[in-house]
Amino acid sequence: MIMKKRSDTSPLVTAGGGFTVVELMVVIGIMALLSVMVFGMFSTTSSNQQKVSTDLQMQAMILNSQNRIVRTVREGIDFILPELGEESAALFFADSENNIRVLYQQKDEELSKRTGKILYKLVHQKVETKDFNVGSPASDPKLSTTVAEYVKDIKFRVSSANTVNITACFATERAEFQTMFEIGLQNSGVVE
Amino acid sequence: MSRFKSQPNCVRLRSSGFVFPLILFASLAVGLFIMTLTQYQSANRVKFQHLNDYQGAFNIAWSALVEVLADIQSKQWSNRSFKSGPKDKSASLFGGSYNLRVADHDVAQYLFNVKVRVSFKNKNHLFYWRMKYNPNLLDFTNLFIPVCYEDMLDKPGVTPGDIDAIVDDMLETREENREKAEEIANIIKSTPTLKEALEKVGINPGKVKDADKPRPTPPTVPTAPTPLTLKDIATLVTGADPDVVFAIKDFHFGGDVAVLTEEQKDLLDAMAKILTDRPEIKIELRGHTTGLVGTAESNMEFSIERAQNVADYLISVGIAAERLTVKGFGREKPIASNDTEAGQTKNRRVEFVLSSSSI
Repeated sequence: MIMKKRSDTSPLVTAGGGFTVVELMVVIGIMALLSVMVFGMFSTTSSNQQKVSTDLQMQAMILNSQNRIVRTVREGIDFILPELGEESAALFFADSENNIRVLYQQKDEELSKRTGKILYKLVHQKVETKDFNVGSPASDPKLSTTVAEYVKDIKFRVSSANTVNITACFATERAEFQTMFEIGLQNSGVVE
Repeated sequence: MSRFKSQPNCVRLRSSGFVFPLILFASLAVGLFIMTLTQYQSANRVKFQHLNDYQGAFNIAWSALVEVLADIQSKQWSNRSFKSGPKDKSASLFGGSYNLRVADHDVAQYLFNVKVRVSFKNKNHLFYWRMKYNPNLLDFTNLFIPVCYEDMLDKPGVTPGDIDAIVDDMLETREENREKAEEIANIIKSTPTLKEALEKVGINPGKVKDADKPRPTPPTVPTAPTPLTLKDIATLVTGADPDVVFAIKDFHFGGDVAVLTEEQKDLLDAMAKILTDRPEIKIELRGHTTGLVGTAESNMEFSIERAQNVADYLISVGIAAERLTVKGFGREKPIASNDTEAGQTKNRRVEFVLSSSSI
């Protein structure tokens, strides 16, 4: 009777209705396979997500920098340097009170060391014309602000009397981002 | 019977053995995927929030301004909507809102002020334009002052008139600084490198990108010299001696004047260039006077002096002296009546005549 019972049921099933060793091994094997797949997928997704997130943060930072540059230049009434058609790494212009404003790129030693790339920060210096001594020029550090960081290269090209084209390249350890934009001075003429 | 009962149990157990871990891991995978997407979306939202804080506000203000300008152009200045007093307007636009005030500043000069206070993404910005309407051109010139307003946004008791006064002060300062700013600008423009330009405004050029790079020279478009057919010029001259060919006839002087003006020197520079390009040409310079004052002799001397001054200048800019001859005709050859001032001006002249050997 016992023999018959065994022959009727699968040899892989135990008499008590539990799992056989083979069943357990198959399940464990499938679980292991699934685990590897799921965690592999998670790992890839997580890594990609982190990369995308970092890129987005960088892009947001670039957009902020771009907005700061736009706001600064919009206070101008006249470009000084570069001259029409010329390209330069710095921009000199006169603002609405005829003070001199300068945007220039200064090497960021700490960031360069950290990223392994030569990176600059874009510095804005205001020179107050009224107190300026042409014979002994000096700029006030209190009127200096950082407009953008992670700058690899910025080029200013004055394309018309009141328009400047800006091509900027920002970089991190892994990636580089480029942006190109145009700023028009809002002062179209002398009204006073 | 027992065999019959045991079989369904076996099937159930076998199925549950696979299904449970599958459901568990599938749920885990879906959960992680949703978490990833959520974070991605969140980062995207941050990106677009950053994008438009200022630029979006500016776009709203600019749109409001354009509406005001269009209104003036369609109704004409004499029927402008703010003629009887300041006009206010509030509206929602591009996901933000604005309050606008437009008012006359100086009616005689067609000047008016436009202030737009924009609320966008929980931030306030004030944009200010002082505009001038040009009735002849049906156009506007503007003066955009973005700095003053935002500083004043949160100050209590600030009226629109206060802002106008600040703008007036800024314009006054601009005018005071104009001459010196131009001087500084000229100094900066004359520098050969960025390094020197920075030094001229007191900025330390150390560690500045491209500081030593020479500034590019302005591009020049090479043009071939235009061959001038001097005989054709002669055909344009009427009322002159038919026996001579004139290069320049209208080279006039003021009354009792023989000294060359800067304008005349510019003309002679152009003439010298033509002579340099055409070395075969020789010129006879003929001086003339009105003869209204002085004797015939003194007029003759004065006419020679005029022609000689022209010759001296041409020689000083590189024209060989042997290519030039000087003659004086005094008052003998007027080409117009000395009764009118215009006629006298025509007679006070030096003529440039191509000598026969070069024709």
